[in-house]
Amino acid sequence: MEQTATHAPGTRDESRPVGRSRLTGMRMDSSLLETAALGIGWACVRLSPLTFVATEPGTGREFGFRGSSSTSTANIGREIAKDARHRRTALTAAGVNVADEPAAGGRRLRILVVGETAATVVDTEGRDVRHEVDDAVLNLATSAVAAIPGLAHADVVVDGEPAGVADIDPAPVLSRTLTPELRHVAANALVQNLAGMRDTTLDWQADVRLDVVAQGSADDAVVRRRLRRRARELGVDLSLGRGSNAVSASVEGPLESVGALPALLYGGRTTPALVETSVRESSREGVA
Amino acid sequence: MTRHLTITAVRLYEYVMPMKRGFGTARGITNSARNIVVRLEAELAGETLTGLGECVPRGALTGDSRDGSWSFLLEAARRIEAARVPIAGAEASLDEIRRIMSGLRQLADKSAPSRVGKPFRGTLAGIDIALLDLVARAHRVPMSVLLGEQRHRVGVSAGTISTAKTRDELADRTRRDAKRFPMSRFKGTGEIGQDLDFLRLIAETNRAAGADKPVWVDVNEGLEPEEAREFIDRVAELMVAGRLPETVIVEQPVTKAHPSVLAELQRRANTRLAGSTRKRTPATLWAGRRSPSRWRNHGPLRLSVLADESLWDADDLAELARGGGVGGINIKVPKVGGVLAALDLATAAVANNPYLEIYVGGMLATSDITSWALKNLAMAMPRLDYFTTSPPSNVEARIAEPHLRYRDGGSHLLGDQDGDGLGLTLSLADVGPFVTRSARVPAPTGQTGDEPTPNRFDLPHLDKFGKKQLDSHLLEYEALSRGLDTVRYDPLRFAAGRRGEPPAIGFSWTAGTQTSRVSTYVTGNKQVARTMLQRAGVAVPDGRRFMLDERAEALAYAHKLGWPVVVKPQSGTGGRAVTTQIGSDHEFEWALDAVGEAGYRDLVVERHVEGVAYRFVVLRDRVLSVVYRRPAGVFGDGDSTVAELIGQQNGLRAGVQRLQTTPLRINDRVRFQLERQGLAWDSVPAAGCRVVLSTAGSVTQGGESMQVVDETHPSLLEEAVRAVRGVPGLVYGGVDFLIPDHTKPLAEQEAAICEINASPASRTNHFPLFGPARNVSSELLLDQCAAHGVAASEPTGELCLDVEIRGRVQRVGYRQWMKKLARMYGVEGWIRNTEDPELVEAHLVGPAGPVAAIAALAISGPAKARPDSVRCRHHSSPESSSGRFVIR
Repeated sequence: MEQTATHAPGTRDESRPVGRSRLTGMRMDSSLLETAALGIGWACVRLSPLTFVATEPGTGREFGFRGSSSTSTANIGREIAKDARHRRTALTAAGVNVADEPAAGGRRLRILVVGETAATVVDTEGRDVRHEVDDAVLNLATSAVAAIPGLAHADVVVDGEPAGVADIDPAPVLSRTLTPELRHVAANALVQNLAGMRDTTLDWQADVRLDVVAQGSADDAVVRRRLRRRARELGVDLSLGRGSNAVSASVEGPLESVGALPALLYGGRTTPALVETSVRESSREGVA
Repeated sequence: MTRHLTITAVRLYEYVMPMKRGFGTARGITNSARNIVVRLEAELAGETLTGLGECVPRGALTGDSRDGSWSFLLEAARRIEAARVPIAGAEASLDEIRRIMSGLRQLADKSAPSRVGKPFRGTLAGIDIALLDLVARAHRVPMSVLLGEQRHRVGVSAGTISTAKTRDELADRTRRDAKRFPMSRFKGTGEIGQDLDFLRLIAETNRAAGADKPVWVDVNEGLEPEEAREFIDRVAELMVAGRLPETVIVEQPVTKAHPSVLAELQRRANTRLAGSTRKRTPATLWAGRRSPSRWRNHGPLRLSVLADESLWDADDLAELARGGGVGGINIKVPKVGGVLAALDLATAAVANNPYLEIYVGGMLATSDITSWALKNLAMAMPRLDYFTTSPPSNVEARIAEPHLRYRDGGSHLLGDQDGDGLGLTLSLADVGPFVTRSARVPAPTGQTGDEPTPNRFDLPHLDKFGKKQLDSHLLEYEALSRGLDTVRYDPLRFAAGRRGEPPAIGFSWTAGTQTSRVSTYVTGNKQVARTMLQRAGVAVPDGRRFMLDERAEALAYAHKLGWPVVVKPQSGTGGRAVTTQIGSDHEFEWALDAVGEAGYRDLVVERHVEGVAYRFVVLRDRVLSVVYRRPAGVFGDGDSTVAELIGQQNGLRAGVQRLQTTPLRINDRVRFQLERQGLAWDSVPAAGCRVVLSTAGSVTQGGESMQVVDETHPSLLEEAVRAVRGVPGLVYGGVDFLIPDHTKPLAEQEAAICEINASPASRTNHFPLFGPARNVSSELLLDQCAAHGVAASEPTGELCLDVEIRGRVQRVGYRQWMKKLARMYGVEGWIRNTEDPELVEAHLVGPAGPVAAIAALAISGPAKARPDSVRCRHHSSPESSSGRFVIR
């Protein structure tokens, strides 16, 4: 069954609380991925509006994210994918069909490949068309990602008849190309692929309690004020803790809202050096 | 018995001369230029003589590069030191100079990067001038007499007006010069409408001033061929309409890449003017003199296309002639490789075409040495139609005396020379503030401290690599020698895999498929890196990030930390704009300025940790290499200047210079360090005294490398491993560690990690200045192979490769280029074009090092080639047994 977009790709989701609407583009992507990581119980440390590190409990494995890139996106893979000449060389060497630009015939599709599977498939209108697309086309997209050394996920643009690869974006801006529903699917897939997990569905609206510690700001009072304001905008409950060298807080509300809070603490000159977050285990019931 | 002059010493002074006012051409504004003074010392029958020359390296225009030209010049100086020149008759002396220069041209061909044709001409010119000056002094005649003087006076044809002038300024300058120079010359912008407007404006201004004289526009390659055709057509129309003078010169409208277009434009100009019925005006009076005979009673109107950048030597002259010829040629000494080469070229040109006009042009931001040399050349030219070398008044300082001047204030004629040779003396006091490097050959032999002997690596097949490209090649060499096939995308990126399969591993510089964009970001951002390292429990100096405009806050924080502190850019690399040991507000301000001048907007202020800089290279849980990086410095010998000691030190490091080090230079940072020690570039430090030239240990800042991993304390090795583990996704990295003593435990000293790098250079470990080499490339490659399940074999000493080069590789001299390289490196095999116009195939057989080097260099090829990819596959057995490399 085809899913219908409730919001066009790249547009603001007006139904969201005003706080989350402050996040757009790569900032929103980074926040979505952090929320997905928190949802499966990982602890996160945010280092900038676009960058955070997630730690898998138990194993202690750490994964880094910047925009929609992760520690599985090698520099070399990204550089080959972004350069049209290099990309053609790599794809041709692996026997992957390359589409001419502009492509003749066929249907232009954007396929987000994560690992060895297609996580989302949309057409030029941003509609989810996964169930209308032939397996051969999906295999073409996954083969394209496999053909480039050091690439674990990427947005593959397929076009032409017969289908060929027209472009590969190793760091797609999910919030520009996907509907809000599909962004959640994509964020889940990207995070869970790193941990070798498969198909763990998250309830993004489940209430959770988040512990937040912001450190390294030149002025903690500014960070406290920002924390209060953002929590109010997000409509979540905030309880500020006491501390001399950091700002600590406990936040409670829907996963999607509280997960946006760390990224919202960055902005202006007085920003924290890092924001540590984790979902309290007792509150995670029903999330994943 | 024939007397011989023997060269006993060569002194070199590289300097950067600022101009008083920027000078604009179609290429942009020039505000300063780098030149090198060559001072020869010689002995003749007990008498000491000197000769002065000036190298004018100007990048692609003269086939030079900054460091390449200096290295070549040092080698050339060693070649000519002890050279003997007969002082019997002028011809015998000139023949010997020609022989010496021919040998140096061969040396230049061998020394230059493979893509550069006819290299180092601007550098060769300086040697040639110095030799001629020296020999002329030995003969006790001016240089022009040694060359065969043809005329006694030389006048400047026109003062050239820069594109930086406004329309009003152009008119004013034209008006002022109307009665002085025979012609008006200005630099074109390459914008047709504006250049035509300026042509008309100059013509009208001259007429109004009673000097209807020729106008000359130098376009400096600023037009595309189609634009140039339109420009010629419109100039011709204006001439026919009487709105421009009867003679107009258009100099080098298109690039050298269009050799046939200049001749085509000349034919076009002739055709457009052939039917003109415009009446000629009587010979014009200017400055109380009649215009030269060649502009009187001239027949048809004359629109002359003049070749400048297109003409390097006799080959280019022949090419221009084949296309139908042009109206004139500009022979520039640095462009053709010397005064003798210029004279020989002019002689050949006149012999081929007696109507071809010859012009001797000057170069921007050069000194009186070049100006006097060009004047002497002009006096000896077999034909001279135009000369535009005016006295160098637009430079901050005149470095040699006497200054070239006009005969009098209103004359275009240049003053006469007193003295033999060029009649010049170099003023060290005047050149001193602008000197960036200096060297003396033979090198000083005094005490240089208790230093170990630097390593030398005799690997000529690595000479043609750039530094980062060398790192990438070292990895590809490991891949090929271990039986993997490779695909190279560009000089810094390649992939490798099992034979017959798509490549599974890849490298961007030294970052493999395990190095992510995230870890590169974390390590590249000093504040984020510090945060991550602190989280991992690694010792890092206290510090904080500031924007460049938060100077007061940054200074207050420095006071809070307490002196000394370190200032460095937030995301800089290679030690650029890093200042350590800052001990006062004044030094702090200077350091902030250095960050701003380097183009950074934010910075980090850190507590200074006492210790020297070490680079640890970590692969997962192992430290592969520890290189001690001593900040640049020299030891005094009580006899040599600081500048000469730097030159000597560069000479000692020459064995590894092309492979990993950066030559020491006298720049603002070095002057600052010298000033801190109460020294200047020409100070003579006492014997054994260590002069500090930099406080940063980075080899790109001239630091000296010594491999010490075997003696480094295990606790320090563990700390470095912890630092790399502290960055998510980083398995291979360079850790910069400040340590007072690397043999002592971490707990017994105050040490700190100041930086971490996700793509550390390899060459420092392969080719340290001191100590044993460490093959980190091999370790990294094997690790990546293991991570991706790619089987690598034991390394082999011989390779046999099938190579496919795709892209613009046919009809660009690619096969000749590879043949030359293969023969130079002793590699056999063949190369051939294929039916696919974008594919060349080669078969390379020989020692693994040279074969892999050619395969890596193939992605660049000759200058006109644009390869897209180079694929190397192992071939089971060699096809060639001839021992040669041939073009099929």
